[in-house]
Amino acid sequence: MSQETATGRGTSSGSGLGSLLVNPRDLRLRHQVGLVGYLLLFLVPLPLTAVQLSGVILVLYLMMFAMSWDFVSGYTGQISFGHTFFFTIGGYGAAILNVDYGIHPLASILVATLLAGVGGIILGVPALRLRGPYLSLVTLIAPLILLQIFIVRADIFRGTNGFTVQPDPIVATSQNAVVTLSGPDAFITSTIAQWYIAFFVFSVMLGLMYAITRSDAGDVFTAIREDEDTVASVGLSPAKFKIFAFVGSGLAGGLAGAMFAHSGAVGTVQPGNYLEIGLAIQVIIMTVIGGMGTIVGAAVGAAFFLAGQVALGAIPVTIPLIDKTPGELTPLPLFLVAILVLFFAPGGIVRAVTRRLDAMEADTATEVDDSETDPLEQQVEGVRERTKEKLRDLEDRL
Amino acid sequence: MVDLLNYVFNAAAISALYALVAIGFTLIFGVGNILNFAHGAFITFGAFVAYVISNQNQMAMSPWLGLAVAAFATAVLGGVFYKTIIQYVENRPVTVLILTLVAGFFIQHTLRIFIGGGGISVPRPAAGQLQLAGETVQYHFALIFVASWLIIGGLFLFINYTKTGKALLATSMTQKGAALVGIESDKINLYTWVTAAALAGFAGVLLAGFEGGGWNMGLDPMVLSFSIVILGGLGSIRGSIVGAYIIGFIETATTQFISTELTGLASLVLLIAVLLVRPSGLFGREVPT
Repeated sequence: MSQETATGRGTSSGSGLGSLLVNPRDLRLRHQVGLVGYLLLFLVPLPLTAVQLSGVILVLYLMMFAMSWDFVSGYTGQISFGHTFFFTIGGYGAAILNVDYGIHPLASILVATLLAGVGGIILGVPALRLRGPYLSLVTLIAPLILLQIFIVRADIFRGTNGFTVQPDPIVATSQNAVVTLSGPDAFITSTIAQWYIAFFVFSVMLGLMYAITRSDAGDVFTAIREDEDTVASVGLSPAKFKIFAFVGSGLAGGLAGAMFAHSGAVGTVQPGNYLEIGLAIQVIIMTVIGGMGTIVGAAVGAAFFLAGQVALGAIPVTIPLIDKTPGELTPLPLFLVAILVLFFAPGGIVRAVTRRLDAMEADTATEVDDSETDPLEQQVEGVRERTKEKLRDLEDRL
Repeated sequence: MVDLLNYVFNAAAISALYALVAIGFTLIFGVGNILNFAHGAFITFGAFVAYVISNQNQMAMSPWLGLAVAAFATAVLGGVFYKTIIQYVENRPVTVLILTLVAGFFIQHTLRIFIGGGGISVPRPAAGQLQLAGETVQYHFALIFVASWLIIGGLFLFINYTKTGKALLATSMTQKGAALVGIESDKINLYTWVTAAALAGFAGVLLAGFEGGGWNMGLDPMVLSFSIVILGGLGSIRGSIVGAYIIGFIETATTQFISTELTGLASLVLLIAVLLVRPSGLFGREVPT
């Protein structure tokens, strides 16, 4: 068997960190495209003004929110309608620790993230007893209960209006930031710094989730989605993996929420930004459009969603019969896209694109050189000749 | 003593309303095996139709007409919803789950964008008050109570004494078995969705007359429907009614005697408790695991 695959590229060899340092030209086409996308994301701040950039930073947090949802719901099939539960524990946890108790942002982020991980256990335990829609119901209710608690104990949680004093940003021009910048370019520099801090956390999250989901654990997650009983029948504990998925998802969502709270102006700590069901629906829609169960799809979907909203908002034309501009119709068009995707392309953008890329890759594959092996016909002829000779020998002897 | 009677009348009216809201939901689950997360949207849709028809700033027609048209229009919406969307994804559980939720919010946002994002005021079909056993009772409450029981009675007769009703019952027990005896599940599902939507729309109008409405009014009743239906047992109409009254009385007791801030919390906690302890509810079938 030739080491060469049909595409003519070498297969990656070896394990361990060495295999991470792979020549980009050796990657599959779909991975190359992904890498390009990642680089583009890295370079986003370049052409933008400070104000534009501060509006776009939201996309990184939405990507993280969406990836955290995909990690559990896309992979294990336990559809969570209440992921805002994690975002809120992360965001509000960090806010309370920082604003009320003066704890340093880095510590508050850490603690809030861990708390959200505990929240993952809280949501994960019902998942062990309930399947399908029943689990989704419980997850739908968790944030609602949280909201009620926020209202009843408005002294701690600031009710429906949220925090009036925001948590300390990590980098800003204001005095209470961890790193305070001053000078003429301070605003743009701090905005860029905020972008790259969020980008860093996003990259780490993406990398970890990618690694986990493309490993054996990821296979088990997918297997649980397909047929949980079979997973149990081969001796694996679906319960353990489901809890793992929920906790991982909770940690990710909580981290994203905590970072969001400490991001400066963008993530103001109020129920609308963390807790409301609208956000949960947005996260689900983003991941559905991008492609559930891929992690990358969640990020792509989030970018698509936000880009779509911005694009729609920028169209100044009023649609005649209904007398509305596309911007006023938000979020209908994107909901519609999600519905259509669910109907006609349930795999989402990422799967459709990678399928196309893989097909393109196969088309441009180099022909395998087979001039040294006999084609089948020749071999059959050869066998026939040799058999005829042996028969003649036999006849001569008889 | 006066307080107690007042409480009973309030609770009875609320429970009757909740029962109307929950029955549609339980029908769809019992027969079609689908948790319709667009139920709240149907409720909202009914309220908005009645608003457009009977609010004095809109078409300013009779509230009774508004009620009737709302029920009818929502029924049509439910039928269209089933025929164009649900019918094709019935056997993909994950897809259906997400789809009904997204579609539901699509409907609600459409109402918000095209009709109004603020609160809507739906005039009550029967305004005014009456005296009952020494208590002042709103006509609206009495209407809700009477209408609720009339509808429940009608539904009972329909399901147990008409052919279609029995077919509905059969499909709710076993879809395959029903198909084997010649019952077309597509038609039955369609009837179910239409009926459930009509009930939701009707309840939406009464709900809006009760405490005002808005594009987001469907979420709380929907969660309430979940609580009621899971407490009573998914797929059991009797369970839904019993559950509605239990939750209605507990809710009213909590808000009237303990604190108004706790509205909704009681039913949420009850729901979680039921889900964890006895997911099949009081009268329901075994939860598929």
